[in-house]
Amino acid sequence: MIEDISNLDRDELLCAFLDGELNDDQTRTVEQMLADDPALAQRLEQLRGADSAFLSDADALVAAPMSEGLAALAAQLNADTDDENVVSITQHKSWQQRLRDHRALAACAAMLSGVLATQVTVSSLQVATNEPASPGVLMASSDLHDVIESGASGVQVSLSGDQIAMPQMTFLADDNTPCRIVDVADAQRAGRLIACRSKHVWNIQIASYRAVADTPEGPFVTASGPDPVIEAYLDQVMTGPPLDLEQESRAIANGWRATAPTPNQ
Amino acid sequence: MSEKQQIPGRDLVAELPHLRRFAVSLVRDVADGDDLAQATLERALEKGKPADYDLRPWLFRICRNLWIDDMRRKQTRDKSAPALKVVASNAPSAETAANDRILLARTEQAIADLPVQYREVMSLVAVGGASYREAAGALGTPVGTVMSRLARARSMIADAVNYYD
Repeated sequence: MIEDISNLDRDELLCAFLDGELNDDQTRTVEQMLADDPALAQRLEQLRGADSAFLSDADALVAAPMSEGLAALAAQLNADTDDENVVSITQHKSWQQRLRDHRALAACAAMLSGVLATQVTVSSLQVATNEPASPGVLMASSDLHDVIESGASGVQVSLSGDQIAMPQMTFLADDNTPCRIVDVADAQRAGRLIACRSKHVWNIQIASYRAVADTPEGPFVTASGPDPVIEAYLDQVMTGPPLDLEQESRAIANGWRATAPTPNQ
Repeated sequence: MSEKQQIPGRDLVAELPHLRRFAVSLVRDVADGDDLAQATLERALEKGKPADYDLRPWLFRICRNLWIDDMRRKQTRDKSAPALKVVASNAPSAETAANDRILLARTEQAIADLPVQYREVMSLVAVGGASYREAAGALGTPVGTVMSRLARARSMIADAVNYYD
């Protein structure tokens, strides 16, 4: 904690405030100053923005593939399965819980969207991917690409050919590559895919579809249900919590170049 | 003396994305950052973790100490504070995407131009989550120096990218 704030200049004071280095009285003093002085409040946001920029810059750099030496060491550590791994298991459970919570919310949205989705009449997902269950590069000219590139999670979008799609969540893979889980449906099939963005291109990593006839409630209800193929894939690649909507929105606005998770999360 | 614990490999792997980001933010180069992260993991495995230490802060501490040692050894620290390059701010574009790209470029340039002393304190506090006192201890400087460098670093980035425009 800072003992005396009277000698600090404006930016030092605001930084100490941002970093939680002030005691309660000092914090209240600064809060009052911010309330009284819009210019000071604006400066605080500028300095906060600098922090975000710095973190985003680091994230953009580490989006590059890991060096061979570090990757080899990581693989060696991963192979070390003899030790108890309490921390990792705890984290894994925590993330899985958050994932379930997120999906529960998504399912609520899906239930609502399903009411509309029952009106879909076209019978093909070929525009989304020529082979729906096959991974591959997504053409930038496709509607589905646009949804993955710029659609917010929980927002249903109509594609050409009367298909519908709805991003469910965004997360960062181990190498900080942004990945999105997207539900896609038409009148006959509904499914879920995972696409990850690498070198400015979205690649569908995995996709799984079922017949809509299995789900009278609507296509997205099927897609929102647990799919063992998708779940198994997520267990491998999703090692952190999903981005919240604000982080996702920022990533979309930045063209996915600077996807910043919360520090130290 | 604190008991040392062998660290399960998976725990280290789980921390690797955070460690890598921290290392890269320090050196601002992916290859050098990966080397630093690798050296950190190797040192961690070699030393064993004190039982009363949390893993991530402990790894960050090893990482920044290795980096500081390396910097001192190479004597490549930037002793001066180079002026920021002036980046054109009048690029005409009505497109939001274009503006975003310009903003991003200006941000990257501002961060790249940060003096090393400023970048290290940003990495320690903003990325590593160190308190001012911890950062001062790691850098061997008074807390006041940490504060002034941190404020200057943030100010240089904020002013260069004109967040207030």
